[in-house]
Amino acid sequence: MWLKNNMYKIITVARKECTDALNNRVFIVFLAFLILLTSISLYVGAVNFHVKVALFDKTYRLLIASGQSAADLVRPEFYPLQLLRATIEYLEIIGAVLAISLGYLSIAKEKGSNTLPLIFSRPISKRNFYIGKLLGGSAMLGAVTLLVCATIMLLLSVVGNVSLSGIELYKIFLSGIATFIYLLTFFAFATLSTTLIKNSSNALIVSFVVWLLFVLIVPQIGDTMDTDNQVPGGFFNAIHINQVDSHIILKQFPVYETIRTGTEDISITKHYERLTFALLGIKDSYNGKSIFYIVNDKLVDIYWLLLAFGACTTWSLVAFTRSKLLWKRNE
Amino acid sequence: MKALTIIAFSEIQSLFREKIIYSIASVFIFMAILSSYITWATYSTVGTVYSSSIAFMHQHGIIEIPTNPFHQIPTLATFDNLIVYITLIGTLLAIVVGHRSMMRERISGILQLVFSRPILKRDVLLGKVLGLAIVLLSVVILTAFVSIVSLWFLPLQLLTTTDVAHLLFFFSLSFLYMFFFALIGLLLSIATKSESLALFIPILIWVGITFVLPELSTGQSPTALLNPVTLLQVPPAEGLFQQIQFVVTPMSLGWHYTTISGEVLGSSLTADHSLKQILADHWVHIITFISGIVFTVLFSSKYLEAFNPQGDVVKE
Repeated sequence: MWLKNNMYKIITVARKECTDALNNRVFIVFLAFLILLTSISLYVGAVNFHVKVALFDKTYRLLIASGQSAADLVRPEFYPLQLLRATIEYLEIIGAVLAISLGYLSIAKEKGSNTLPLIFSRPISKRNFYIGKLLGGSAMLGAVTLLVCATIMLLLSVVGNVSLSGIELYKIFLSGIATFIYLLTFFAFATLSTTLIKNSSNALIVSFVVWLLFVLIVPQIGDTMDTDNQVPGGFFNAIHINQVDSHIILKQFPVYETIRTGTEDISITKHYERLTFALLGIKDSYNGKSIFYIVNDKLVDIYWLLLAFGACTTWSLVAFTRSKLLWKRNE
Repeated sequence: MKALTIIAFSEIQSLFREKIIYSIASVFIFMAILSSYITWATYSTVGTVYSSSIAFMHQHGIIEIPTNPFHQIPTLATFDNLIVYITLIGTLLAIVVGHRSMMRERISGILQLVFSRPILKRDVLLGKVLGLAIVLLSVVILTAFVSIVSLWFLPLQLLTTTDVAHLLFFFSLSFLYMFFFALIGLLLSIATKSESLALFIPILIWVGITFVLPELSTGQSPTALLNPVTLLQVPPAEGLFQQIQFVVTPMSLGWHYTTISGEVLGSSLTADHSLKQILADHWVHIITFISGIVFTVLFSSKYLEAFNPQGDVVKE
């Protein structure tokens, strides 16, 4: 009954939200930038792979010509989805900025134009109005994710001449869902900060500072503290200790390791990265593993992603329904 | 000259009154202190991990013990993370400072009042640029101070005269880099009619300089610079890529900043870290930095000359 009474209102707000986004230059510029970066990153990834193969061939020929054995050389294997590493990194960075811009503009335009008192003089509640905005934002971010996935598939198949298997397409689909949830979390967060903060510039700046902390700085601290990251090619590799033994040694440093992993765990970006890198086989150890195995192994990251999304959405809904929704200069 | 000084002084006062600038500057300085501690904690742990690894090898009957690949830690290595924090937080702070500098006065209508007085637009701009430079310089000096002080609390080697010269060079370069982004923020806050666009465009430019151009210059993944060990990857030698590199590399300011800073602090893999050699290798890049700053000031001047304060309405 609630749905029947309110669905029309929510969809009307959502539709208006989509029209506004499509008419907004900021959104269009960010979208174009994201698509351009997706293409660039795939191209750079492909060039890098060609360079690796060429280096292998050159070394192989040199060894054979000098009469030495080339048995120890391992030919680089081609996993097309590994080319998506930089694309995922751009989605983490630019995708989140795009979602923030959409979320900010969604609330800022209402606060700036003073149209809210007029809107709320009509029979629509603040809650339904916000749900409509969230639905509109979801539709736009869903379209962005679809567009990025379509670009990836198009470039891989047409330009790269790679035919993706059904499983690979399914992995892209699952990564797309993770991307959608990740972007929507930033959208909800931007609506939250724009709702709560009374100065428009500050609302945007705070969103960017939080974005910077969670997307770039916290994961960087985790990487910096990783002992294996301190030497090119890996510290343990340099002292000829394999991965299993390295884990045994690191168990002697429980406090340090707990702080390091705990630092990484507070970043939603790290969870998104772990999940998508595993699904797409960017992390080598997940290549050839079943989707069921990967999803099962990455359940913690999925829970964190959903938790961050749920928390941001709920908090922003509560804040929107309770806020005066005015900028300081309009009060 | 008097007008210029008054505007610069007023700019400094106004910027130091802004809570948001205080907040970001505090985060930045806090990260500078934290970075020294993180680096020290990591280096100490790596040393202990190496000792544990040797014990583990002895237990398993391994006789050939490899040398510690991490045995020579440069004195200035504790500043390594600061390169990343300047690239990330320092530049964001600079963009915000530049943005607020002009946008605040456009929104409040003060700019209309200023231009109703017999004052040259050029003086207003130069006063603001000077004010921005002093504010950013204060932040950089404070960051340098807390970083050096925090060094005393960590059991690493003491700084030599050469180290001090290298640090001075590093912080000067960092100031130039941040100042460039502050001017981009200032330029866009004059050139655009939308408050949000005036922030979004500098952020896009920042993403381009920090992540995209280095990727195109070196073939590394976008977040490679956030890794403590930046591999000197051999640039791919494919035809089209080489042409892209030829065009993009000189503009890749973010890459040049991290490379030069890495060399100055002694953490990069190059052998010769003398300032003379670094200057000889990178003088073109340093001139690119300065040219970027000069061009941005010239563009800002052009936009400010064309700026009509009457009827100036800033949109969301």
